[in-house]
Amino acid sequence: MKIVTWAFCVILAVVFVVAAVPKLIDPGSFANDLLNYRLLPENLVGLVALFVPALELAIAAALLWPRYQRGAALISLVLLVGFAAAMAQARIRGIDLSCGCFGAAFESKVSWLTVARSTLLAAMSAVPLFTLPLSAADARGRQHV
Amino acid sequence: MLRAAMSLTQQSLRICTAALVLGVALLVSRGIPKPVPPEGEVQACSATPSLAEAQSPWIEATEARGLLGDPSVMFVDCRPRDLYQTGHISGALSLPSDSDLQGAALTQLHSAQTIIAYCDARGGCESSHRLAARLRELGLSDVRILKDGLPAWVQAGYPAESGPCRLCTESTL
Repeated sequence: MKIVTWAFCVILAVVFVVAAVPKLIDPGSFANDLLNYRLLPENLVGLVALFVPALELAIAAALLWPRYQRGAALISLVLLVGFAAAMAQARIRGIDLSCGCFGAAFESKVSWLTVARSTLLAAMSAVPLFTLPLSAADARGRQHV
Repeated sequence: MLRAAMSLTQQSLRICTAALVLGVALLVSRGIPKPVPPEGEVQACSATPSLAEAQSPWIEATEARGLLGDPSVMFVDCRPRDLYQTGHISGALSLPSDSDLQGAALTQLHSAQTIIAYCDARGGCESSHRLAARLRELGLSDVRILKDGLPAWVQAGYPAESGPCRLCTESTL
């Protein structure tokens, strides 16, 4: 189980890095994608376009740092569920837009497939969240048992 | 249990703080990014006419107002249906960009000589551009884009209404 948990952490970390880098390179395009979701006021999208990739990078680093893996998994779960919900509302409202998931580097339209992809990644985040020990002390405790 | 929850909260807060620090560093070094449509994308409904000018001519709100009520002119709202219902140009047809443009909807569109498409003029307005392009592909040659979209129309005090689409047939719903 430990190998599976670590594998999921590594996969998620890679996905977050791949998603964050193009957004940092071209924040204007990502801001445009965010605007097209029609969820945020126009004067907020610029700030969100800066902080989302920063959060993605922080999550990626924390997922590979045993001390912070559970916390990273929790934020990852919340973030990915949020992404899936934003895409689902766009599909339901008939808004035709680029998902912006991986910045301008890998453009793809929002579809139920992109919603499913985010949901799958969210489910992967739940694995380290519920299987890893809570802290170093807990980890030591488990080893003694 | 409480200790576990506190530990998890503490971890999460530290990660968020790191992200916040990184975000602020980016903000200080690069400033707030402005939404930029991808290269090649046409801002069909934006305030600044671009490539759309060559493909679909712009029409000013004042000129479009003069055509309202003309049976040969149809106003097409390319925003999502829920936004249409909250407010739209009087008598406009609701036609989100991913609508099925076959059957009755197509007949209805072909009954008009001129189509004036509009949206809310926000951001890149991809959907509006796509709809105008699809209409041209279907042989509707006179498709114009309302300059500055619905906000300019409403600001000028021109006729607008809310509620469901009266012109929509089953195929456009």
